[in-house]
Amino acid sequence: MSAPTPSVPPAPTPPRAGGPVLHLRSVSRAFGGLKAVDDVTLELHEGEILGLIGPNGAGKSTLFNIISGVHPASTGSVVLDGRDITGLSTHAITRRGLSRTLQDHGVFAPLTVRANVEAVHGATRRSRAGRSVQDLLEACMLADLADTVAGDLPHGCERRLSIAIALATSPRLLCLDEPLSGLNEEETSEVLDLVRDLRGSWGMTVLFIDHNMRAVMRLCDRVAVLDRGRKICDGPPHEVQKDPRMIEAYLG
Amino acid sequence: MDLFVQMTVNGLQIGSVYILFALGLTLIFGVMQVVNFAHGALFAIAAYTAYVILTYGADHLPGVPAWLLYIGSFAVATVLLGLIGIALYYAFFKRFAGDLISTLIVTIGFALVVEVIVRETFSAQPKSVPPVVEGRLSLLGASVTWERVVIFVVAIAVTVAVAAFVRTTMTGTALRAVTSDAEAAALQGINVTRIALVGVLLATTLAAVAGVLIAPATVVTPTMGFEFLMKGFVIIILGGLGSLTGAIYGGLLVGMAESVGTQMLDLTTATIFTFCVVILVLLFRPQGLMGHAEL
Amino acid sequence: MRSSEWLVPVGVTAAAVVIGLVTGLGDGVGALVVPWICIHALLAMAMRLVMQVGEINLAVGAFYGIGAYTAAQMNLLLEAPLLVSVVAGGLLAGAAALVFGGLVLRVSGAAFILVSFAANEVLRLTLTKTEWVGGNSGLVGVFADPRAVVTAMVIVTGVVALLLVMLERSRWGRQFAVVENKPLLASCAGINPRSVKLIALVASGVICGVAGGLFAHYSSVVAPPDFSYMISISVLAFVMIGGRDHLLGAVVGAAVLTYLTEEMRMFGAYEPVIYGGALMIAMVLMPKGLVGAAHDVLRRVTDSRRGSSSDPTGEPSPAPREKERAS
Repeated sequence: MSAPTPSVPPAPTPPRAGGPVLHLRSVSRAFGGLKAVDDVTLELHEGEILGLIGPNGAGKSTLFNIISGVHPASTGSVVLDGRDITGLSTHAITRRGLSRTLQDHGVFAPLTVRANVEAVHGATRRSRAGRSVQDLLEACMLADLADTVAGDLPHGCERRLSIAIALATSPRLLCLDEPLSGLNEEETSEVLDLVRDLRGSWGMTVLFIDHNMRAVMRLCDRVAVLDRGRKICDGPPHEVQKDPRMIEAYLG
Repeated sequence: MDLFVQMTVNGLQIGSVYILFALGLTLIFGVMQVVNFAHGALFAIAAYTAYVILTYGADHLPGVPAWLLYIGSFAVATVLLGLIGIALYYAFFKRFAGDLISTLIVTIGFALVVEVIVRETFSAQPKSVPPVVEGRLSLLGASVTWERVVIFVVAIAVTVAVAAFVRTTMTGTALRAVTSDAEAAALQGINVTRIALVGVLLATTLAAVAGVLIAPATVVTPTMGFEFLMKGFVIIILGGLGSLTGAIYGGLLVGMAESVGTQMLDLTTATIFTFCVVILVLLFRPQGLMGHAEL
Repeated sequence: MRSSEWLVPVGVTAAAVVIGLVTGLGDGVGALVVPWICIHALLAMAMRLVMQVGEINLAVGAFYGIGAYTAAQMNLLLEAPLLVSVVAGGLLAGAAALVFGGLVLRVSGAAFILVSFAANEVLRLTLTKTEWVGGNSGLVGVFADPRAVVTAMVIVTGVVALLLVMLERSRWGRQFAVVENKPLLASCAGINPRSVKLIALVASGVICGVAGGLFAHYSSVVAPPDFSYMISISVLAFVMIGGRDHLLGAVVGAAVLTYLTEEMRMFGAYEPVIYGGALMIAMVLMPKGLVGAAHDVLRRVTDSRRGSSSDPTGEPSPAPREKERAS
């Protein structure tokens, strides 16, 4: 089992003036009277893997949807690479370099693996200027399965395909929405290796949401914990694990 | 002043029938996600039911008062349309639950078949229905037939009854729950299938009342269903798909727009004008006036 | 795309065009039916194009009408040649689709169906009120050589069909499929569903306009009743009964229903019953349409012969419908 690498590897793309890749400023979102996300401030830096965890209903998915423009934020702002993306629609955000995976609908089942990646790769100028379809398939260990119909893929490969699709948009920031849910141990470690690899060789910045606490702690450089819509702590995994607020959130 | 009162009276009167018609349309969309092209056909069947009963009564039953025949028409049309509604529900709506395109297609098919059957039975000639109530009422300088006063009062009473049913009864609450989120309603233990059937029956009842109600004040034709359908569509887009309150506001708005438009220009131009208003509303509120904030 | 994959569509289209020309220019029932089959097939293909991005456009009759009136006026006022008038009709209808889609495509699904249905009726009403296009009586006396018109109809239908096959197999076709079935995935991939839908709607509008232009020259009279909601609904029937999953379905549906209507003309004005009844029965018994059912039968036969369950054609077969639930 490989030890988590705490140091940030050399990034091939130059960071922009050292500012955070993603900056959430006091983001809130209310549904009716209920505050699903309450005043969350968060920074994500170049080449970092940030884990976002929290008990069920803590607001992780809502926060994710706000970041990716699926829902608008009620208040607060989302800044990507120094540019305000608050209130933009999902496709516009993707075109500015933030790509997310979808939990249940990450692939288009009737098309082959290659056609899935190609459909997305050809969609925008940004993605056509990025890595080739073949590179993406190889990076995600899908080159051998390129002509398989996506609907026939085993779970783990399907998950890696959804990541390949997200990568085909040539993102600055990759947001993974519960990429481990429903995977067995072997598939889980394949996805974790893939994410580590993307950071290691491409310098990808990653936001990672999952329920699998052990995996998140193993993978991420930094972990933020949400509980009832609020961010209760934020720091390196070993510190967060000992934080009394975190223990209370999960046990209380 | 007189003209203004006259236009308002006309607008309210037309609008009240539009409300009944649109309520049924929006209700069935709300509970079943069905764009019900059959609604106009059901409405036309109800109008022809009134035509048959009232004409037969006038010719063959001289002793029976017209209002009794009129009430009888309501009963017959409600039962008849209820049976058709149940048949449609079990034959199509249940089978294609949640499938917008399939239900759209079968209801279009149903509407086309009904239109031809009606035309072959009664000919394409417009039929006028014997009056139920005679005389005119003068009100603040406006003049309106008692016929239309009755229509207005009944339409408003039925609208209020539907609103009360939906707001106060258990079934009505369940109906609203299914309309806003069928999945969540099912999780709360609501029998969505039964509620859907209630919604269908309520919708056919509204079509029956609207069809019978309008019959003596207008001429009945095989295409009247499609004509009302278009108005109904405009109203529920304006009000917000699935919204009952929206259908009421939308019905009133379209009724008033038509009344003013007809007075100033002519009915066709008024219809075109109303449509332009709808497009304008959609530009700023795609979900309609009373629709949910998120679509 | 390898050239061998083009053999089937090009071959089928060429054969259809030859049969169309021979029967359409002859004296039999073909002369009556072929022009209408062409018009209906063009409209059905246009309807299906918008269905491929997940919307149902019931304003097909309106764009058809705009094309017809434009081409008629070009012929009457400018004495423009056949092809110029038809192209002008297509372009103006496309422009109308651009404006309509730009305004209305912020709604989708049921609301789009309803608005497009109403728009069709509003256009018809507007035509009846517009005196410089003849009001209620329409435009009369569009002149063209009938044989040239029929030839143009058959060839244009073939060309449009081939173009649409190309589109379907291109990058755009795949984007259409993703937008129809997984709009959220499309957005996450940086595809703007609204612009993709607008593109499909405009292309569909152009095809409708061309069909209208050809119709105007064929019938020599255009009047508002030709462009009522009934035409849009009939066209929807062609697509659904032929089978919406295949381009061929639109053409087959148009051909079969047009021919049946012609044969049944002796029974009086039963056209709506044919369409209406066929729609209801087809949705229950044959939801994939004629072509879909034939495809299934064919696959079963080849499968049992080979004793395998693999897809015999190897090309991505039409998408089994699996939709994402709106979250």
